[in-house]
Amino acid sequence: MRAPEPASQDAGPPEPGGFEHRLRVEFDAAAAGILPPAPTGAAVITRRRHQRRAVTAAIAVAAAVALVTGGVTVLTGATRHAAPAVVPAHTRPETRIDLYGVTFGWLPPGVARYDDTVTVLPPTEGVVPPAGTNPPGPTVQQELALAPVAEVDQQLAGADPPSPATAYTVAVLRVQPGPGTGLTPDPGIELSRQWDRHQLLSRDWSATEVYSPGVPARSMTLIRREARRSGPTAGDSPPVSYALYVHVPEASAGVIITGPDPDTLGRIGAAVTVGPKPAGPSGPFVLPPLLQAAGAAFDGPAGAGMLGALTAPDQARPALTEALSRQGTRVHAIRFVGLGEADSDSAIRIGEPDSDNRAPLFLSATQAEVTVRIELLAADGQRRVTTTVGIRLAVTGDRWKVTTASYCAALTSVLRCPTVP
Amino acid sequence: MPDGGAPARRDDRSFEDYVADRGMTLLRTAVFLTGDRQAGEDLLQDVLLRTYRRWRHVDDPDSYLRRSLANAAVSRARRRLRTRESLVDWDDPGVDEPAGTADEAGQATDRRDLLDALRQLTPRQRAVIVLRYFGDLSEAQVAAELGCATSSVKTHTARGLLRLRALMGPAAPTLPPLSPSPKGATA
Repeated sequence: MRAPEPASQDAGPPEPGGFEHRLRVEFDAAAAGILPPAPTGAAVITRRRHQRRAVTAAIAVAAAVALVTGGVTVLTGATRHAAPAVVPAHTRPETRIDLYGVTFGWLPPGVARYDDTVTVLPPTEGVVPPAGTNPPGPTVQQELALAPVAEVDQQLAGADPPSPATAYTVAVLRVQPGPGTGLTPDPGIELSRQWDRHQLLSRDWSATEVYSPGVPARSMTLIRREARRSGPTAGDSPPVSYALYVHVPEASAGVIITGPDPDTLGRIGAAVTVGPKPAGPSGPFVLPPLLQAAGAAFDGPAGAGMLGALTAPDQARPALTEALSRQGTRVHAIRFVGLGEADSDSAIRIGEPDSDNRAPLFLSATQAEVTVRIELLAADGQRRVTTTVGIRLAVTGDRWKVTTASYCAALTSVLRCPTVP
Repeated sequence: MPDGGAPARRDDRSFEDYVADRGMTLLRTAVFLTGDRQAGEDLLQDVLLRTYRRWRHVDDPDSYLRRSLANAAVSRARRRLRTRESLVDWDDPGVDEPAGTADEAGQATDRRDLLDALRQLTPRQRAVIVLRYFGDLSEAQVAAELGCATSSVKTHTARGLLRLRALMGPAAPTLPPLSPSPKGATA
């Protein structure tokens, strides 16, 4: 049912298709121009907790947004512990990828990585693990997007992101040990949960289980997803896409692969090798280099000197230069407060259950995610507020540095970075 | 695997999942309802926060959030008018214009035109127009969401369309196709 076309005494002659048709087209075009980041539920929950504790809330709006990656990150429910970060893109074909301790030994020809998201999900409430298995703790998921090299280059140049009709994602889930047990539960529970989420909550597609192919030493479930024609993102998603859930018994990680072609997913899944969780460095010398890097990156009085603590300083230089000229007071007010949450009663923690919430999450020997607290000047220029964000650090040369993408994401309220590879 | 007839769980996890699933659509709705990206983000954050507090009692999240966003946008606009407080720096060139390619620049221009026009409507007209032509709801559904009569929706829609048409001017002329379109493939 459509509203009647109004009279148009002073608005020119009738338009082909009617003004209502044109207005819908204008809305669609404008909607396409409203780009991520969108808020995350975890950020809202975090804000609510902060409010309860009478921590300043005004800046949390910006902070909540800052928890989400800049650029075109797939919305995966990032949490305050894991600001998604876009790792340096390699606009060259990848043939093999190591992701959070899992090796993907075969990839579609000609694809490059372009998006890297880490998400920490709390344990599912009310899930009773099968007899003989351990209750799950939080789940850490690292997801990497892959697309043809030309499309990745196009995105880095500021144009449209890769088409979902040609892009794939590979994700590794590792369930953290349950509280009190210290034992790693079976990731199969979390894989089932992911399937639940697709079926119960998606308005964009209907999901059906296609088959569970018999592959030696692993179980795989292929899900066919059909986009709903009337779904809210109808037109953005391909009519049909697939998700392959790979579970290797006895292994400590599960794998989810999505993309347009089921045979390609099967080849990727068959060539997966699940290794142990990356341990990263250990000992008393782990935290100081990370602290030093984070402290230098969020040292507002240093101004442009902060760039030296970033993995790709030139990527952030124009944004920081502009911010210094337009709102130098706010930039100079940026201050690193410390690692971890301000409070210790969080239900979600990165790292081992008996460690404190400052523990870094090592994705590999040279990459880590940490939660940091930074102090900012609110938009009114009056109040100083502390916000909690996740940042990614990577070894560059012989030093730990903050990835430029996660730095920009953390400072969304101050910096306007371009899409950072 | 889940029981297909089981109701969705209403816990923190389901809230995160819902927002992850619908976040961009909600953000776009909020931006149109306010006519501004930053104000839309603020509006959505506040509404999500309120929704989270009541999450366990929300039966239809889509409808609940649409209704909440529309009503909150109207309330905010009225409050702003009363206090004559400018919450948004409309002259801030960075608000809606990220650096980008020529294509992006064109897209940004389209968006600014529509957002500019939307900002000229009354809050209620804007809400009705957004729900009707972006949310694609029927007049009866819009009336139910906004808690008003269908006749009121008709009136606001007609006035809003008239105003928008005057503000946005005539459509760009349609260019003839470069070559004959194959049968059934016309746009």
